[in-house]
Amino acid sequence: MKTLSAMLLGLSIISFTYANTQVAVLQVAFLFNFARFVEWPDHKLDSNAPITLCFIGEISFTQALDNIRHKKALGHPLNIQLNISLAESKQCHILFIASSKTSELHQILDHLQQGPVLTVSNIKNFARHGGHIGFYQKPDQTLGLEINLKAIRHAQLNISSRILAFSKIIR
Amino acid sequence: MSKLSQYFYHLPIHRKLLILPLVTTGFILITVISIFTLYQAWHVRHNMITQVNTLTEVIAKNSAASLLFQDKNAAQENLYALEAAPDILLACLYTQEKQLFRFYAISDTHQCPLDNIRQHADYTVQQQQLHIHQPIYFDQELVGYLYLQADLSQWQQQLWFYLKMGTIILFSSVLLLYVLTFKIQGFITNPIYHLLQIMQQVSQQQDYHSRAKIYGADELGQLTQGFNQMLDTIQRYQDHLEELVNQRTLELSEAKDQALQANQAKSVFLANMSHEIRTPLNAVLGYAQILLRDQSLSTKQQQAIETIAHSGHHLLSLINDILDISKIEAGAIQLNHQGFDLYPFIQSLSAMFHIRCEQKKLLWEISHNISPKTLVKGDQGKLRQILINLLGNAVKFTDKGGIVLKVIQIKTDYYQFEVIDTGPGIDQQGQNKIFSPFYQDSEGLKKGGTGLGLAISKSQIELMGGRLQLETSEQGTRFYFQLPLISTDKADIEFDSNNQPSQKIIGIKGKAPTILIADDVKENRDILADMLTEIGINIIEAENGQQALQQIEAHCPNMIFMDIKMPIMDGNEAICRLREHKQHHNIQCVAISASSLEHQKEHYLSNGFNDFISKPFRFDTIYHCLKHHLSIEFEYDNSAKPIPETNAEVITELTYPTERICQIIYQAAQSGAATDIEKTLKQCQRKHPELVKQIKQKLEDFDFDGILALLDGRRKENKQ
Repeated sequence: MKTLSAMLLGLSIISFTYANTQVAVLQVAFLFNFARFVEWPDHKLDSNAPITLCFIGEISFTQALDNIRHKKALGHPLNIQLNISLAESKQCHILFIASSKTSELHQILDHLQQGPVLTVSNIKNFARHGGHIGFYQKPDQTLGLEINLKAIRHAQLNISSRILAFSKIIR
Repeated sequence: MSKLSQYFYHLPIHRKLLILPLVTTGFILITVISIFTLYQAWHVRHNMITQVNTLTEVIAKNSAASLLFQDKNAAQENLYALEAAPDILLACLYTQEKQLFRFYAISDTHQCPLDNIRQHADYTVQQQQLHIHQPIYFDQELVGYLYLQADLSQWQQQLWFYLKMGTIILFSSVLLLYVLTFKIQGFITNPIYHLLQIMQQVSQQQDYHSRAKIYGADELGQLTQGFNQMLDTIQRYQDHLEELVNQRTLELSEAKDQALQANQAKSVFLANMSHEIRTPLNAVLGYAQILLRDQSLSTKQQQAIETIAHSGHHLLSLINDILDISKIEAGAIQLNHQGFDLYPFIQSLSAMFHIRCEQKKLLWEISHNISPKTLVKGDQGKLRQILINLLGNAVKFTDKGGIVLKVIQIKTDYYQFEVIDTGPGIDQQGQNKIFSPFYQDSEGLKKGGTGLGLAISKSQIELMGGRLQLETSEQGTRFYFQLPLISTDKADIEFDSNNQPSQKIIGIKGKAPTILIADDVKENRDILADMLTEIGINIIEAENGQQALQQIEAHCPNMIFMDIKMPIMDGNEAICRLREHKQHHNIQCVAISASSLEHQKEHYLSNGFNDFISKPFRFDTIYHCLKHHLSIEFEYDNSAKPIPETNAEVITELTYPTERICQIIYQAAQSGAATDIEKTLKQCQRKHPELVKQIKQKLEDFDFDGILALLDGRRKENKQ
């Protein structure tokens, strides 16, 4: 009985771990994809200049970042910056705010002052709180997107309608 | 192909005019419609494929984001957009890992394939279905795959539609063309048919007055104009021709009349000349013959008379020859076909020439393969004339050796006649000319003759269907010819092959017949009378037909010798009158005429005459005629010798006339009727000159007893 329960426990742990890994891979892929569907103002991003993908706070998917590290989005190579400080955040093109920074969320957003930095987070109701794109868990266990279109427009960013087609728009 | 073009050639022109545009237009229409339809079909198919390809690309592009963000709903919505395109049967969206992501099917029967996902974009068409494989890239990254299946049957429907439309256009165009051509072709066909109709009318009715209507100034108009002009010319020519023909006909008929008249005149002239020459010749020959019978003449006198007779006969044959050649040249000679027996025919010729050869000390030979009773049909008179001519020539020109007559039957109804002599032959120059009239070579000129014989013979042989041919050398000459003589079973002519050269006739056996001689020329009457009284026939005379009829009524003679040409009433009329009376039907009537045209003989016979003798006649002919018609048997002078050819003196003998004449003289002497004796003596003057001389001497002394005694002497002689 013990062994069985241990096995079940193990299996559940494995499945959990697998599910977490899957979510991490998806989130990384989505982050890369955002680089493809979002346009930055010219002064922010020269052609062929690298797109800086910054992570603030602690993240669980550092390993999954290897999948995208050498990819190019629309010709732009990726520059991945982990654990940046708030001061560094303005130079980023995409800023992922980890859930560990939930308490500092407003501080971070204010710091950016609606500059052309796409903010993404898996913090709950991120878009409602002034963030640009928030991940959430769909009922079918897939990853959904919440997009604050108004905030994105304020940040002088242009997001492709193709993402909007399957995203939840937050007003 | 040639059959087709042949068929097309025979089509009427309105059909041709219909068919020509129909064929050309039809061909062009079919070509155009076919090309158009094929192009359209290809175009439709190409468009459909392009369209589906474009659709595929759009779907692929639109699906890229949903694939990237793994949004199935968005992908599904994207695919559902295909509902607007009914041709699309199936659309399948696969992930990067070739897992089926989302699909759209028009019905449940279509299922997405789970393998055979192509790495590269391509399309295939299978069974009217288009299969398109499209990998989906986003930002140069393969994000998934799209597979589309489309129905191309719409393309086929389009093809059918175009075919139907094309066919309808084709047929309606052809129909329209047909109607239009039918209406318009009249511009060409009407003038042609009109021209044709006029042409037929002209040629069938020979009416050159009709003219064709000219429709326009095109080539057909010119043709019609030309035709009308030709008609004008023909009409003028015809009118002129009619005049010309009438004129010529008139001239010709005049010329013909003239020619006929000239020919008639020639015939009359020939007949008259012949008649006029023969009449005096009759007297000459007659008296020569009478004189020749007179034993009292001296040998010298007899020789002179013989020469007269001989020359007279020669003259006669010359006249006959000239007449013959004239007739041949005029084409007036006719064949007189009769059935005759060839065997006695040859025998009689043989008998004739046997004697003539003997006289000239030549050998006579006859060779033939003709069996007795070979009855054939032919003109024996002419055949005889030809053979006598050839044989006569042979005898004439041959001085030593012999003459051969060959008659050979070559095949059925075909005979070859040959006359071969051992004469001097005919030189090359002579051979070429020998058959021309009036030609004689040096030999011929020496021997005499007219030079007509061979010309006549040649023409007569040709008339009978043969050809006279000649082979000659220095050893002799051979004349030969072949004739068709059709066998028959009836003989019209009999020959007396035993016909000996005339023995001297001195009287008749049995009752003496009475014969009437009707002739306007006294000399002619006298000759016949002398000749006939001499053999004891009773003679009555008449100067014309009328007298003759009276004499017949009065004396009822047994036979009449009737001249044709007589004043008051001619012989033809007299015989007609005579034959009207039944009691005179058995009187034998013989026509005697100097005109010798052969066809007249038939004419005389049909008029009622029993026979015909041409003047001048031979005594033999007269005697033969008597024998034939009155069945008289003659008494022959068996002691009489042939006329002596030597110059030796003839011893005059005392001969006596017939018993009847003797009796007349005897009775006259008894009654002392001197004139009666003198009259009777006239009859026997020629035959018994010695007796007449002695009686005349006694009569001068009126010694009637002496005369009686002289006549008594005959009884003694008879007793001896």
